[in-house]
Amino acid sequence: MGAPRMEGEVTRRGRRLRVQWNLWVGAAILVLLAAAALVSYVYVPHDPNRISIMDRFQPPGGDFPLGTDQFGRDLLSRLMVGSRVTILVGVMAVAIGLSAGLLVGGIAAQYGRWVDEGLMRIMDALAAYPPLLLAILLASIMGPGTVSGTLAIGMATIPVFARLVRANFLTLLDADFVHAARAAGARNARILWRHLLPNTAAILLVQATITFANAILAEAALSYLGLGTQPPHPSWGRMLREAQDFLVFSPYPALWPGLAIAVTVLGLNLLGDGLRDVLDPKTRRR
Amino acid sequence: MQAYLIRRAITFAVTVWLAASLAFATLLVIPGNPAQIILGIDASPEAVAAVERALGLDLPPWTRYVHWLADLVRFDLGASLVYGVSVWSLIAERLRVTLPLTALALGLALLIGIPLGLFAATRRGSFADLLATAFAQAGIATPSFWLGIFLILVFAVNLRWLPAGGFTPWSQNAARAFLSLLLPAVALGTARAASLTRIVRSAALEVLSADYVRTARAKGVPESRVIRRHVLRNALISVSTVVSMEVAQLLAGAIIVETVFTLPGLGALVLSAVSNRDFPLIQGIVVCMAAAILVLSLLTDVLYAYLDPRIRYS
Repeated sequence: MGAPRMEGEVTRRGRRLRVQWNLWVGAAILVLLAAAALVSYVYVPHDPNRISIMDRFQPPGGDFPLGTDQFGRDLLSRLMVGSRVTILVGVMAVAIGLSAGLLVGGIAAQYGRWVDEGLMRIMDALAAYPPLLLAILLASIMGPGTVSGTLAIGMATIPVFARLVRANFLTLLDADFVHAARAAGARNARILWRHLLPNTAAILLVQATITFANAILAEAALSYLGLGTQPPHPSWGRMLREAQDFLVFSPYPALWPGLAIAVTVLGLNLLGDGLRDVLDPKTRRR
Repeated sequence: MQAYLIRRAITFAVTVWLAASLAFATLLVIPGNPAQIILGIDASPEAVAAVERALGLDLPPWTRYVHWLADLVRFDLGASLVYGVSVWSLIAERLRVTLPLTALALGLALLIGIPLGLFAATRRGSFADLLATAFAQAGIATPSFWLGIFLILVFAVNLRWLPAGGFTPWSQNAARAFLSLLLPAVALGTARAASLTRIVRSAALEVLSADYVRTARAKGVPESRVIRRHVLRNALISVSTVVSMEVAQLLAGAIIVETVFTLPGLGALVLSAVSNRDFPLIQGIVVCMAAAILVLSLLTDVLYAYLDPRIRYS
């Protein structure tokens, strides 16, 4: 009885994967971003920090595919090198939020009562600080820079993950198959690895893509405010800030980094939506 | 409901206390002596001692914490190190820019997001729906400061319709003050409008497939009435739950947008406080913003319980 239905499930999921255009477009954008960052370690068209006053404000084309900025620096090279910061901050923010969120949410769900209450109130307090506010606090202590910015953005994402993990674990801990496993003598560690984590992975994956996107926007904002990545290292937010004062001479130095941020965030959001559609049949086709 | 309100008030007080303590803790974990950091390494020991006394750093941490909390309860945020006046008065002055900006952006977001989301949901799968969804996706992904930069280029530099930045005080010329907030509000509100469009669309789609909507239609209730009485009303409940989060985003976003348009709001104040290492001022602003966000989420929860009779709080 089970076998035919499972076959049907597989084909249906396969068909769903094929029509999930948002998932594929999102994934393609991310692969492109990762490729740009990786290639930048071995090849960039020009030195991203080479100043050449003769070449300032070049429009796109010829020697400079995307044009140059107010110092004559190649915009494509700077964008490519800047994508490293984008990926680094995104990955680190997700790593911090996910690991701390699993720990806090897991402990809260497992121990309940005042442990749960206390931890969740701390999460509420942390959630009252938007990433930018936390970053401002941290930047005032540690000084501005990529590390303090990443830490702040990562910390700000902990409450979302902690709440997700807690809610999921609580539901699962009361599920029949977990009760059955426990009755069969499974210990906490086994229940965690075999039942709780695999059944929470999908929802965490979706949240991770959303967090990644928000982290990129937050990093760009921090760098724009001068609290994130410091010059001369190129970062997309910083490039925008520098370009703003020369907008009347050339719009390109401001156009590309903004477009790069928007397309990357769009890609991550599309990927998240696509993943959610595939992994969670309840929200499908909405 | 009453028991729920009391319990909610207690958790609210605890959360505000924790959030404020977090801001206080940051001063404790600063490596080295904050007074030395403020004055620089060349400062004389006397000057450092004077700043230490001004900050109360000569007292043990617990005493400082208790003093700080006692002041906070009386809404006393201390005095700024740089300006020498009370933090509270500095914040109040800057709110004259930041609050209208946030309100304008929120108004814009609601004005665009609710009708557009509803429109898209009722025409699901159509080209109009696709356009609305595309706007939502693009709007969420576009950084507000980038949008702001290009709004300045088009509407201030090229067309010369609106000021490129700066702010005319309300007392001088209220109309000009309003105009100087218009572009910033668009830059700030677009992403929120996009996010609301998405939320309203998905909430309305859920309601549209509900049994009571089918019943209403089967009874012959006109479609416009179905949309107004059933779909909009129920979709608005889900909007009310996210409005506090949207306002939190707007407040944080205002810091950046104010920088783009050189507006003398809270954002400019907090940034100058960071570069001056004016710790009481930074703490004050951060605590105020976090408290405002918590108050909003409390109001949302209560409003939600009031709006949706299906929610029962025991």
